[in-house]
Amino acid sequence: MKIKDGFMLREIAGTCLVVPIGQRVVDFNGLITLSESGSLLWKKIEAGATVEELVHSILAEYEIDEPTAEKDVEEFINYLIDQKLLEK
Amino acid sequence: MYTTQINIANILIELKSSRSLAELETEDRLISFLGSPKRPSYQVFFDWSENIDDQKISDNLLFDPGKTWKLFQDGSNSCFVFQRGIVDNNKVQVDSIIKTNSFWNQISIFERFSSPMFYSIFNTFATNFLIEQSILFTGGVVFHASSLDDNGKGIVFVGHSGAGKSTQLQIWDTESGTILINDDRTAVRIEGGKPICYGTPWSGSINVSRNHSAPIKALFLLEQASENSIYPVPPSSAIELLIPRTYLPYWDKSLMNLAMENLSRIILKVPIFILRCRPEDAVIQLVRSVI
Repeated sequence: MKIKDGFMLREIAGTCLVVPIGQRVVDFNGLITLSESGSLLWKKIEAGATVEELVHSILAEYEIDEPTAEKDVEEFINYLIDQKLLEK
Repeated sequence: MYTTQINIANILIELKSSRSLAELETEDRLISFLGSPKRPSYQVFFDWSENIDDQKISDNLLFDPGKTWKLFQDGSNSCFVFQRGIVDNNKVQVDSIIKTNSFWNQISIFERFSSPMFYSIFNTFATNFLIEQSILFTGGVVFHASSLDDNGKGIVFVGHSGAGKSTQLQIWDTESGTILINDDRTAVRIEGGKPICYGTPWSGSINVSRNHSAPIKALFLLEQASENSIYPVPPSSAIELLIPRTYLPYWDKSLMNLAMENLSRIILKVPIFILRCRPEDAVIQLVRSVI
């Protein structure tokens, strides 16, 4: 699982944005806003985390139970796949 | 050799060229921007010459937006190659080359001069591109925006093509104490903690491009609507709307980081409103009610 090349995550004025750069701009002309937890997961995926590690990172940061964390991680990964931001 | 000093947004461009500004068809556009600022925020050395055929182009293609230009990387330098589709012996001819260092303060343009129908890239893209990047090193950005000075209060109308940027200036044109600055591209930077807007030489449909600056009171995200309304937008929401309306260096990660930092600082300093309006005089009072 890897974030595709050509995207950068920036926090600007309290908003976490994914901005395309380089050649990626040609086929991805837009911006994606991430929530605080989405931003955390993005950074972990960039660092090479597994799905299990992503779940643990959410559990460590937020007061939620494990099934909810697993569901959140799965939804986030599916979202990235839908947006064509992720390669497996 | 001609030497010309150009002052755009307090950036000093020192141009050395083997042709005059008149021959480059750029005298009219730049005439009110000639001269040197007292204390330049940045200085750019710019050479224009004709020996295009002597130029080597790196084969490291970095960015191809599919338009008339491509970007090649040569070490830490960038090389923009322009082809307008003129074919010579079944080969598309290179019309212009821009080479720049990574700080956008040492720039060379190479072109093929052909009188009388010559149209230099210096007239539009090159200088325009130069300011959009070099201003990043001074804490600024260039917005797709019209701007005016209302009795010492800078007002910036940001919007895509067709949003009504030029129309706003036409509405304000006869107001007492109002100076129209630009109807398409406005440079903005924070100076001494205060946001300032600057006119650039590149105008829109009503051709307003004045060399004038003003401290910004507010920035308006412009939309056409059947009813007039105005409401403030918090910085966290404004950013998504402003990024697509800012001239950004999408091809270069480090320049993009710089641009995002500048944009972030500007957004936190300038009150931002969404202005939905009809093209009518009532907009003036509406805007003045919030500045």
